[in-house]
Amino acid sequence: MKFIDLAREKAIWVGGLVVFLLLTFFPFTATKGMALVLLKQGDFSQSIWNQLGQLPLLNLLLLLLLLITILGLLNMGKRLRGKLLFALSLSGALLFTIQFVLLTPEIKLGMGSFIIFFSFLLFLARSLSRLGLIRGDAFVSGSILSIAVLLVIFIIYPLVVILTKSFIVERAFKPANIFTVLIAYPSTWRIMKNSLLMATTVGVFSTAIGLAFALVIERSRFRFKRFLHGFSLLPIITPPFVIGLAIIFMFGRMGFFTNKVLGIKSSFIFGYPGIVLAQTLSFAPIAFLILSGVIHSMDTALEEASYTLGANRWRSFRTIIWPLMRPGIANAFLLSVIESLADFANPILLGGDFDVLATSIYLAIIGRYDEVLAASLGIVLLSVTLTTFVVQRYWVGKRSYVTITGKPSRFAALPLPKGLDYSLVGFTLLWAALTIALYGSVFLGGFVKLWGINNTFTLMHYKRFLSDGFGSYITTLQLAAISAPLTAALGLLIAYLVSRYRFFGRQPFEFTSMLSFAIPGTVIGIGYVMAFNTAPLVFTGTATILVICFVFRNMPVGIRSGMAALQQIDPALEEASITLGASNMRTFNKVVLPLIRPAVLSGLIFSFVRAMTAISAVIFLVTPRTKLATTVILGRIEAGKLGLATAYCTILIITMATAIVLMNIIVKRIVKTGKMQVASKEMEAVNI
Amino acid sequence: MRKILGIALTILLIAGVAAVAQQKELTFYGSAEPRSVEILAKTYEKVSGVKVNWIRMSSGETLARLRAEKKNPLADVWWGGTTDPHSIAALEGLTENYRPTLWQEMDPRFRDPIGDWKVLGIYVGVLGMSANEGLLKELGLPTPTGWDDLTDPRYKGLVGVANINTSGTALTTLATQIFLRGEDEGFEYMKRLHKNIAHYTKSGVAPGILCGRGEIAVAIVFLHDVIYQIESGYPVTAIAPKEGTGYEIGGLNLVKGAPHPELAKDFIDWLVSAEAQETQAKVGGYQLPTNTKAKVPAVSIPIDSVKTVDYDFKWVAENGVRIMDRWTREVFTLPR
Repeated sequence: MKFIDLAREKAIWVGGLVVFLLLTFFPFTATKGMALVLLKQGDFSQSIWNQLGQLPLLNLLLLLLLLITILGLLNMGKRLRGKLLFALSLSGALLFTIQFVLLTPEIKLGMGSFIIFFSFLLFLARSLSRLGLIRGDAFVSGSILSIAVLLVIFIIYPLVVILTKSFIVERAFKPANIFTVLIAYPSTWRIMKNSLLMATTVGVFSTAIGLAFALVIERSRFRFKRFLHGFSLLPIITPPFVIGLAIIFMFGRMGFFTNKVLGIKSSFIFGYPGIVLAQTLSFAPIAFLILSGVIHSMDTALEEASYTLGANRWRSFRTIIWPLMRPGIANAFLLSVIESLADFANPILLGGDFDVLATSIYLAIIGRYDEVLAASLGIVLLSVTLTTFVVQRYWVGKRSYVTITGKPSRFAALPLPKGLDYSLVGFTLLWAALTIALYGSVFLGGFVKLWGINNTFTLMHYKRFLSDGFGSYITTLQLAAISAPLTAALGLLIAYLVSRYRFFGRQPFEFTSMLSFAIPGTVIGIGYVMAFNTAPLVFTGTATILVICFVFRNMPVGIRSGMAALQQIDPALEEASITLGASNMRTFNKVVLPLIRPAVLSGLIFSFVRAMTAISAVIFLVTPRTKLATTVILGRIEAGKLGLATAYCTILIITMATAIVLMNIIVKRIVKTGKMQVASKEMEAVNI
Repeated sequence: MRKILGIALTILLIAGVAAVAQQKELTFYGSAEPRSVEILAKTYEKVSGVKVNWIRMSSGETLARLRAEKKNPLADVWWGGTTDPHSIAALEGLTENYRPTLWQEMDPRFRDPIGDWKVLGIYVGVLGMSANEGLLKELGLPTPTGWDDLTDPRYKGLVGVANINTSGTALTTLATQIFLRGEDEGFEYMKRLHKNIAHYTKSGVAPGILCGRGEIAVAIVFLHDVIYQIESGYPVTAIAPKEGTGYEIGGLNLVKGAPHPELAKDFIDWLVSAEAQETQAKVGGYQLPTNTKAKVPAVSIPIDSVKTVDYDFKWVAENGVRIMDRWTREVFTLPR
């Protein structure tokens, strides 16, 4: 036995050599550019080899890396090597942190420094799994450690920076300062009241409408209900401002419906009614997705039992279906509340005098140039959304039966009581008609000179789009296409780690990764600008920060659908794979991934769509080289170019719809091919 | 082995996303209309051969951006938008004063709004009203000619202006009333006007568009925006108030610690030239040029034909937040 234990370890020495090679080609510090300066310009002044003498700890870091490489080449026992590797890599990671966070925080870190830091982290992960401190192999421990570091950097750190903005006055820690700021600002109470009023109304309405749609689609006798399904989902692939613009076109003072049909002349739509209508249209689909999952996975056996025992349809609905749905309803309500509080586009377009927190944060910066006020309002908004989020997650979430990607139930669902069925179908049809009218007006608005004033047909807005919007369109597509797979992969990986492995700090790990769902975009955007514009981490002004922002902001969707899917797969399948000698990574790739294909797909689609339609977070992050579609549209709306804006929005909607279809095809091809298909089918058989 | 290769490839991929520095280029933040910013960038690229990266952000966003980028400035030049945010940037040391070579060609009334070339004046915009005469006729109402007409109860719910907390245009409106009547009387006027306001918009140009769409009948906006909206097909008329009105001066600043200071100075020299200022009329930027040699666009309303108030930019810079808060407390919260 001992003889076998004495061996070299290839992964370590090859890994060490690769790191040395990469370090040569990437700048260690970033005075000029983050990454490719060395290769493109042949300027090696920022390479690590040119900075050896300048920072004493840096030499030590390289020495540690060299020792690790040598460690891989030596013949020695696994246990001993694990201990040595642990000591070397942990001290490497710690020394790095001491040097660049505490001693020289003014140095801007480049790609090379990230390479060296994460290589120490991965060696550390390897030693941890060797020593048995983390269950699972180097892949699992490496993923956990790297993701934990990323979560701290890209979610916790920006929030801390915002907190310090309003808590620290002239270098003294004064938490009471936030109250001083908020009391001095005359609008604080009004906007808080407005926000809460808006969010609760929208929560109630979206839940009710989502529920109506879910009941009709899952349980109605109505023959064309599939058709309603599409309409309930349309708002998800809709860029911000579209619904707001459509509402102005239809219900404004000169709107088609109010003016031409009803003959009313009133601007009643600006303010509370307009925001509520627009947000209900936007967020009812989320409520619908949650509730249809609940209704779908509801066991019909209970209902049948109720009928057998002599209850009529209505009584069974009241005593069986309704109580089973209640947690789902609470869930849908709370999530719509969070979305409504964080929504930026609708209040800014339709708000009128009705100011809410999400827009006030932005406007505190735009109109009053007051970042401390913005940060303080941001903290208020954050605490409201976080409270709602915690309530949703730990109080309601645990009791719910939610699975967004629920498997079809094998029993035929029983239809609703007749009276309820007909009224619900009538209502959802009306709502679908409203949706058609609104989207129709946006579509047509791109083809007329000035909607409502000069309705002659024209293609000028689309021609103008080619010169005025095409660049930002391409940038948006590229960045969304880069970030979507990264987001989906990271989200799924986190979902896998959290639901399959028990490790120290799993609870905060999971909470932090889901946290960004509850952080409103405006708060994230400001946090990123404040945090990543100064050394040691400088990302502003690059496309990188936009990709990072998309990834960490949209990740929760991937995690959510990944966890839901993983709950339905028996861990015994993975255990079998590992017992048969596959590594954890191989198991994840070959067993887990094919089985959770729908979750992969929905994660990809959601992150792509959300990246294409993000506005509040990116408004402070776009740069001259990376203009994004939504910010360009906002600018055009402000300038009164409504035709151009609607043309642009139409193109975005078509793009997203096409992309969803394409992704569907690609994911089917990649994840489930040839023998894999057979294998996974067998596994499904095993599972049943 | 494959693992390591995978990691290396991922790093390369991320690196591919990261920006790459290039030679001979400038970064330029513009706070006027996107088309105005774009034409300047494109024309200068042709004239000088320097690549100009530009982005349009509202002046408040730009100020926030410059503050955030203080330790690591990414932009070279900031052009356009009202004077206030430019003054704040200058007073906070975010920008550097620079006297362009064509100083003598610039109109002494507008070239230096707060002194010491801290902020360069590059255009003048006159505050006024936009009226939808069709709608007014339909309602049987006269077209207003001055500020006091707007407080006529018959215009109730038909007047639009932006929120003073969020818009430079609206702050100019309030300051104009204060310079016209004194501070307390100015606030009394705003209270009377408040009774007629349909709603306060976020952005300064939005009331003009609402007026063009017939959502409201009269909007308080800058006259050059009204002229542009007329050209875009909106049925509105530009009105210069007879009592006298205020104006904005578009600011221009050199960013302190700009990555390309020498290129930036050349660019600023060009931006104040007649050639650069005349590009604006081509794209519907009908502000008045501050270079005396530049042609005033034919459709613009020249400032000498309008009665103006004695607009004190320094006073507004110093009292801006105070009058905003006073307005919010005393006017905005009143019932209508």
